[in-house]
Amino acid sequence: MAGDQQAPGSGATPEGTFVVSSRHDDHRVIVELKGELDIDSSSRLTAELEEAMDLTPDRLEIDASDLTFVDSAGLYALLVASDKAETRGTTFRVTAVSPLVRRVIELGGLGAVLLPPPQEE
Amino acid sequence: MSMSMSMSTSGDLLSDEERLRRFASLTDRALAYLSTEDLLVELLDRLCEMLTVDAAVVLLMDESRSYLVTTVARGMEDAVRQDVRVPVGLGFAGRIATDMNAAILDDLHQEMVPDPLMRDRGFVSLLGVPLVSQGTVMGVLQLGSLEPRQFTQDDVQLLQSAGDRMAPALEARSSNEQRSAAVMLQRSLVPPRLPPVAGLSMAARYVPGEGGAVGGDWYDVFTLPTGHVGLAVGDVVGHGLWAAVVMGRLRSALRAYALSSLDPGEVLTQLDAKLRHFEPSQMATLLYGVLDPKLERIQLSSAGHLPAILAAPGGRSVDLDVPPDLPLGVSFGDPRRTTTVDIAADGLLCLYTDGLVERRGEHLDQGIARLRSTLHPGGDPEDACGSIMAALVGREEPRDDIALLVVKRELVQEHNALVVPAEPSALARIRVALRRWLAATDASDAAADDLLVAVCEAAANSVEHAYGPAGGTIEVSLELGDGEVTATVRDNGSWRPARGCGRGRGMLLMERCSDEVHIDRGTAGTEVKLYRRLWGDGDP
Repeated sequence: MAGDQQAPGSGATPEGTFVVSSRHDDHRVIVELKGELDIDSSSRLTAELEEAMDLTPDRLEIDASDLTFVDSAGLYALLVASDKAETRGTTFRVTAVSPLVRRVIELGGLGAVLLPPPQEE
Repeated sequence: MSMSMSMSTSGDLLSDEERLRRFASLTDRALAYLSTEDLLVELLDRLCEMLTVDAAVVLLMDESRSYLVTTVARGMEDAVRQDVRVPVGLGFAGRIATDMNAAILDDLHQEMVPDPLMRDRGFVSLLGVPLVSQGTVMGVLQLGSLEPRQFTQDDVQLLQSAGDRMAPALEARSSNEQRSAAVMLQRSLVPPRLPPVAGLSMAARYVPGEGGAVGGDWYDVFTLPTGHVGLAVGDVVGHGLWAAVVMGRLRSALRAYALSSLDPGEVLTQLDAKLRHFEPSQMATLLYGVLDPKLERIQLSSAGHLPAILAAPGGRSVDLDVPPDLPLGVSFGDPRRTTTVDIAADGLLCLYTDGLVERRGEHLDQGIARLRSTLHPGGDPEDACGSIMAALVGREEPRDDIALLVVKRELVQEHNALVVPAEPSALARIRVALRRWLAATDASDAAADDLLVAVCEAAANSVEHAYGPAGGTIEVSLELGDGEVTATVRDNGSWRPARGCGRGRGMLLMERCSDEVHIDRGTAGTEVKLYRRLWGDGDP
């Protein structure tokens, strides 16, 4: 029953349940989502995505590897951003989704819009 | 101010012997009936009257023994209110403290004595004696006259004899003050009642050491915004007020650092740096653990602390193998380690300080072994604390203070209800409670995810549609049936259009993530009932 050693840093931050940050190179912006995305936090995502879009990247990638929850309000924020991206000719993808996030996106009927096509994964 | 001046003649009619006798009788009687504070005031009044002076003041050494602090005064009460201090070694009183001798000053204005305390208040002639207890100067008793006068050796003797009577009372007052301050601090920081955490039951004990002396032991339990739960048991080396003060600072700093990192090793690294910088001569041991929101596992970091004990169901109690790093305050700032341990439902976790297991003429391991054999899984933490204290403390007065914390991860409760305000920020609380409850059932990951999504959509609907600006509450109740969960989300509002938009998929998700949904929109509010099997995929 001896415990095993674990490297520090679990991704979550204790003081807030949703954290969004972005980084960019020449033609791509990566927006990293951590924690839980719901009606309480979706406006913060929308603001961040609008800033990202102002950089007119070729690709806008949402790194969802540390996103542990999303609801219909979060889904809507992603959908609106992906529509805007499309009109500007930016490729919009949500990557590295957890089973829960994938299920919500797919049950919401947005798999084809938000998730990368199978050959890309 | 100079009321005593008008009575000055009465004292002169008495012989010195008579004055001393009177004074002695006053102190003896007063000691029996007056509080220390009243006694001191009474004595100073008496001195002013008998020696026909305008003011009498007691100055006491501060903690660092570098200043004399005006503590009780008659005829110059403002000095106490202004917290006037005299540096030890300087001024009239300061010299008496270093010389440990009585002193007389006939005319302050003729001497080069830097003494703003007396000079600024217009005093001319001064008389002072050291207050000595057990061979150490603890302060100065001093008289001041606004008119020039010559104090005699008889006056010195009388004042010294008054001082000798005051010193033990002052000593007792100071150590009483310290003791009660330490006890109050300890009580306020180590509260007998622990915060309620759904899914956990807890109990704790704190016992002071020999002669009721509190020390620097403490325990703490707190929840974090993410639903993680912090557990701590620590021991600041030393006893009394100062140890309790350092403990209080460590406790607050630990809580603050816990808000910025979920990794106990990181938190203790920061806490260690804080202690080494701000309280460089202090040392403490500490075991800090963070339970995940589902309460399934705990991450621990040990700063030279004794091992926690875990009683897991179906097994023997074991010491948790958390390799200890150096105690706080004596390390070199190396990163600290974090160890992860699983906690089964019904498991009992015991954290304690060395006072619990240390006995005269016994090896520490024997005490820890006795503690292990007393702790059983499945028991009630309150009962466990009771048996542990009975078995390990018994009738013996503990030498050191003792802190003990027992935490149990509860088995799943078939019914569970939660009421939260109908606000967006409350949805995170619903998820914490739901995840924790589901983790204690045998729901599959897919079923747990589905329930989380469906319940949160129903609750988000209530947040958006149920209430106007005045707000209201949402009740979420969960029921575990035969292979199935029934979740009910209820509000007391009347349906109104949402203020926001874009949640059209909410109903769709709710339906697709449940096996069955019933919605009842009545005049008294809306009730949504969701059914989901514990295993297997959902609807599509």
